[in-house]
Amino acid sequence: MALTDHSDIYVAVHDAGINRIAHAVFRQRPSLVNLGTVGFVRNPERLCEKIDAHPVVTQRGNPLVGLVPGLPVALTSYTVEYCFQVTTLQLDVHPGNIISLPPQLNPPLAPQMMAVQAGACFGYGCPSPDLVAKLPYLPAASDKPAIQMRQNADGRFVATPQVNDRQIDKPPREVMIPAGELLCTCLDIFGTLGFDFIGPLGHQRLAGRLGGIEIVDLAPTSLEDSIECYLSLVVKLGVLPKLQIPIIQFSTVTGLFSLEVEPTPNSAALPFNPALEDDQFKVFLDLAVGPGQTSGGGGGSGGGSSPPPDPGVVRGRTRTGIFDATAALSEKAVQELFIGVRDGFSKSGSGSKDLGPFSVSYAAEVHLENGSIDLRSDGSIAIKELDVAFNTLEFCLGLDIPKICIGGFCIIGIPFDGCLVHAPSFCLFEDDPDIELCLDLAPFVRIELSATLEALTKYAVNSARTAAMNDWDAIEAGLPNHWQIYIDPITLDVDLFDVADIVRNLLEDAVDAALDTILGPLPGWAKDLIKAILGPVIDLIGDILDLGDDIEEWLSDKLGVSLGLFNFILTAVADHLAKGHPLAQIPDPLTILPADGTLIPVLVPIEFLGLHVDDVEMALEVDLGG
Amino acid sequence: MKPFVDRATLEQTSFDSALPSGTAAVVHRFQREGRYAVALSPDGKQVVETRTIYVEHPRADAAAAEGAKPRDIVLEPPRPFPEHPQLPQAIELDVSRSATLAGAAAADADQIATPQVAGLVTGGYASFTAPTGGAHHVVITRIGADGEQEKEFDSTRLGATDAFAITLFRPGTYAMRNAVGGREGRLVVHYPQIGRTAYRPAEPVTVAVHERGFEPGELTIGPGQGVIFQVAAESRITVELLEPDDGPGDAGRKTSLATRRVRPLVRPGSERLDPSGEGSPTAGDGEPGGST
Repeated sequence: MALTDHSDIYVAVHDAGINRIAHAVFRQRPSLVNLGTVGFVRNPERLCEKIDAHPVVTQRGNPLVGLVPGLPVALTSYTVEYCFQVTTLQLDVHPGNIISLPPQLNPPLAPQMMAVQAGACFGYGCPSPDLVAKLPYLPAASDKPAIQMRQNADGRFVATPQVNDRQIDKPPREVMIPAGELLCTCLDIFGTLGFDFIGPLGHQRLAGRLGGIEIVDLAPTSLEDSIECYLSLVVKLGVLPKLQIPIIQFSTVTGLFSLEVEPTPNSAALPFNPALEDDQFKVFLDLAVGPGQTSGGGGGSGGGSSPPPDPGVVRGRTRTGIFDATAALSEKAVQELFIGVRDGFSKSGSGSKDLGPFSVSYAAEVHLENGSIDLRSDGSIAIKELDVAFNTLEFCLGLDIPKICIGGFCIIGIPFDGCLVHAPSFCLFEDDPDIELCLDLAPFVRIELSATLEALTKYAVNSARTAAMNDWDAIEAGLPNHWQIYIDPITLDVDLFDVADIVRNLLEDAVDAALDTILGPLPGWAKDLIKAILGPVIDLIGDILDLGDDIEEWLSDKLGVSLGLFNFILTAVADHLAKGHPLAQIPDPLTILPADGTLIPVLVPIEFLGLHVDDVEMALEVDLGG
Repeated sequence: MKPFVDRATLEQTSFDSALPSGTAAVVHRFQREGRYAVALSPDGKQVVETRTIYVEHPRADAAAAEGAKPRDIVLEPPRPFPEHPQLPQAIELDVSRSATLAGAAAADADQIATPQVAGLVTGGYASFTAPTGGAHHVVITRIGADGEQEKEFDSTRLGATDAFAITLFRPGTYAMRNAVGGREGRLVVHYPQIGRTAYRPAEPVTVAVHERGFEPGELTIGPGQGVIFQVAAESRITVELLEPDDGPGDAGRKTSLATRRVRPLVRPGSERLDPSGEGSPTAGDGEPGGST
């Protein structure tokens, strides 16, 4: 059964992959899951659980603890220090085989559900009784700036930062009491989640749905229920809405075409979308390709000045089993994308060459028409009969008409041995070239392209990256390594075809007109004499150009081979398809959370990235690093 | 950019054996050894330039005839062609002035030798021509051992064995005249026809010039076809256009050279038709240019 039997696009993430991402977030952005008041921010070692942060976090001076306001002391402006840590987080997509759900959540894990287990610690910085005894009454006042109390050497409490006595006389908004003993409570929290697409058609979002929540070993039960109720509110009203993922609606891909992606409607064949099954979170999407929003004009032949990509090498997979993530495109979707690329394709180029008796040049702008793409069971991709048509194809010729000499006949001959004295000769067309002309062949010439392609991935180490750089340095310097996706041509045929017979007539007429131009100043009889001497244009240009009977073959040779038009077309296509020009480059490691101010981005290494093609779909397979 | 055609030569309609230029040339044969002075004169009177031609037996013959060397052959200064074991049997001399050649007509200078001193074997030929408009009268005098002078050749009065060759391009009717004997003939250059094959002029026509006149006295040739006047009696030959032939005119002239290769149409059950309507092939390659 194919992944895309019931949709155009299939995206799945294995629960092991999700847990790897969660692990990376915990280590690289610890301040997201370790919260505490200012005392804990300054002294993370006081937390209930030691934080296992990535070394780069401390190297870059990133905080280990996210700052939260103090816990208010009722009826006063005092607050108390506390911390909250999520120490572990695991997800387990149906069927449950990672997390053992507590009885309260009715194990085993129900179909189309995901289990979540989090280890959480709450630390309360209980002030010492001696300190509390020395604190004055401080009524609640919400309109004053927050000030922290600090005890001087003489035991007297002062406000920090330093303020004068007059300010001290005014009741502060919040005064944090330094923590004494830290009272830690660590619990396991279990939950179950489902997922749905919500929102109106065209603006749908992927949103979580809380099934249940359970705090283990908390008593009395009423307290447990109260806390679970509160946590449910936090998850339902705070966490899940924040984690909603909008589905792509419109996206212009390099100006060539636009994509419209919508969730595939549920049906008997596809009862669940999204689906939580097979240890994977799956999403099924349908694709519509529309015209791109080009900014006018085709791409120039010169192209941009971006440096060439680093050469990659094939890197094999080291793991076995299900991939951490899989994204598949059905053959129908590939065909739609092919149409999008084809219809948005436009390139221009030019070239010239001196071929001795004549010179040729061209200026062309091409677009693509017709053709089809076919995924094959042997893993190859076949592009068939793709027409390269011309918006413009100016084909210019510089003709060096052979020197023709009249006269020079023999006046005094040598019997049986040639001539002794010749009459003066009179020669025409001694210049090079004698005439120049251009033809617009765009309406009359087509090129057909067929190719067999192989999809593969390679890993390229950025050559500009130094040994001293870590992944974060490289990302910041714009020098990450890359996984590269190639569509390499196995065979590539470019044939000039469908050259209309009228091209020969056009050529003759153009030469004729050019001759009329250069003969223009001569009297009529002289024009006629020279034309008679030159003979029919068809013979003249046939001789000069070595035209032969097959103008298609001749044009194919001159345009395609001598002038390199085929190379230009191949290069243009190769920008997208050929060796040395990756179709796409995915930076490694992948950025899961972008940098936030001074906080480093959360990066997850891509351990393996592969492309699999069979006769029904094309799949991108990913293993994430630990 | 060099013009693709020399219009002055193409449109030349007047030819004079006394002043050979353009497509015209006069040929003279040197039968005797000796030193010859070639005098160039624009008007037949004032000499503006003199050149020298040495004529001698072929070297092998000269060695065999060492003892029989004619007394009046003087190769002084010493033979100027030591590097040439064999002198040519024919030379071609540009009879325009050297100064002229070095200037405006220099573009054609490489086609014709213009030595101040030339050598020729006994019985060899010299042809004289010049770029259009640059011709001179040519008078050749044989210089004897004692400095005595004997007229050998005068382009205003060609002698027996001399020849005058011209190539005519301009269609029309020309008068052939011998100024010495007052004889006259007619020469017609027919209008060129653009055909299915490239036109190439036929072989040149030879016209004998006798005291009694030209033979043939009337002839028709194709444009670009040569005419060789073989002189049998003293003569000064002129050929001048009397009546131009402008052909069908601009209205009737074919404006296109694009003669299509049109496949003959064949009606079922009928003979082939020629859709071009051009009929039989026009005068072209190998068209006879014989006398009428």
